[in-house]
Amino acid sequence: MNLNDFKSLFDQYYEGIKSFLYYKTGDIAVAEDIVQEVFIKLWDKREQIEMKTVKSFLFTIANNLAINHLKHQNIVFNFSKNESRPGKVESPHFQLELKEFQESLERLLAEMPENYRIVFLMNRIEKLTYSEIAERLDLSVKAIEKRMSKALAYLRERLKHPI
Amino acid sequence: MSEDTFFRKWLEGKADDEEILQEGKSIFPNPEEFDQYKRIIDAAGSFELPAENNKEEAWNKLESRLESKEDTNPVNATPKVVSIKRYSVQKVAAVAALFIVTLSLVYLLNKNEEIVHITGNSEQKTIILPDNSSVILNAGSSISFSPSNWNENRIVSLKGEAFFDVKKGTKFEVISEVGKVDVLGTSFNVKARDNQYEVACFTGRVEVFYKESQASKVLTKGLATKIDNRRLSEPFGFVESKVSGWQSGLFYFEATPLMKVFEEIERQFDVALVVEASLENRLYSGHFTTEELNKALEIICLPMNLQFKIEEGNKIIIKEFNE
Repeated sequence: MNLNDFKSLFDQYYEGIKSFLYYKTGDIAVAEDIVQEVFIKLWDKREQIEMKTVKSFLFTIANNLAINHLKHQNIVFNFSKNESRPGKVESPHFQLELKEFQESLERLLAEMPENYRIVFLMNRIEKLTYSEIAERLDLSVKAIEKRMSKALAYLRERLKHPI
Repeated sequence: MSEDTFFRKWLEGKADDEEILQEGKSIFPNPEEFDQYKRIIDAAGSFELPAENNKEEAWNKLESRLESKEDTNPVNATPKVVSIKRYSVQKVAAVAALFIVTLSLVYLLNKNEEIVHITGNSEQKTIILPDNSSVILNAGSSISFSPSNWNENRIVSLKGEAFFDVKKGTKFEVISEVGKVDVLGTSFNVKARDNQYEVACFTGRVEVFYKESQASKVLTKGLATKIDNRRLSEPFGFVESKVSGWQSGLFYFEATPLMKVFEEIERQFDVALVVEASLENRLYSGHFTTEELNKALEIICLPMNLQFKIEEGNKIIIKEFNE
């Protein structure tokens, strides 16, 4: 693999790996550091990697490196929050309610079990299909279906009585 | 349509709003429930990652790190013989200074470097850790650890299955997706695949943590624990040869979902299985050896009323058994 091939892999997977690491650690700076390490590992092993396994190799390494980093830190997310329905003009009251709802949602996501959280965010933020998520995480589509439903149930249970 | 399938349709954006509303009415007769889900799904859909280092900057940073790696660790370096002739003191000092700077650079770059080992299909690997503890890695698995500071901080991340023989010393931790093992000096087997997590203690004493339930179980020689109904089971006795059998190509299963058994076949023989039968919750108890693929497939398929066909290369079709 030469540098050009390596760069196209970087272009293809950089965002996905970084997002995955953010969902896992809640720290964008840490995510950016680890994604560098992941690609350095790929470069080191470039002669031994087959193209068809590159995707799962990258996510596996990212997962391993992030696990070492976690060690019981409290996660705090800070998503950039846009309007739910862009283009539609809403009243200030609605906008305030929406903002508060989004913030509660963000807090709950940080507390949600990692298994559900990662799958949920990969779909909601990166708009990945269940098949695509299953491939990256090396799980079955059925497993993704279950985790997604559990994530939604978890959030609904805690959001249905807004304070 | 089940709830799971409905959510999938909704979340993948494959149906338009009207359709989702209609189908939602039948899946969730209580309109409040549907509305609550809709609110969550729409709000989360409007989230984005926080503003960031852009890709181009990240690439430049990566590229320069790779380049300095190549300089200090050239791939095809032929050892040079430096014969010291009559060099002036100044020149020798300059060379020595450069040498020291290079060493420091190599040290700094390698200081926090992680070592990663990965096994592909039909591959097993033994890895010796810096303190002489050893890890035997089963196929389709990976471990990583950081050698710097090893004697104070013995931490290994594992995905897949491995057998550990840990020398006495400071706390040794094996961290996986769903659980963690703490040991002092002992030998044990860890299987961490998807949501499956099983630890069996061969010697010494092992403490197993299950992240989801925040509980832990202590194992001594001859005891194992696994995830059962979202928590760690009470320690149960296990047969050593059955759990460590994989190291000699013997794979035992007791009431194991058939899909898991087929996945192990894929890993051990490096083949791809296409299952055209509904496996549902069928459980398999038995074993196979890595001696011969046909034999292994027979010994699994026959009692389960399945048949197999091997196609070009290494593709295998599994079907129900009928005339």
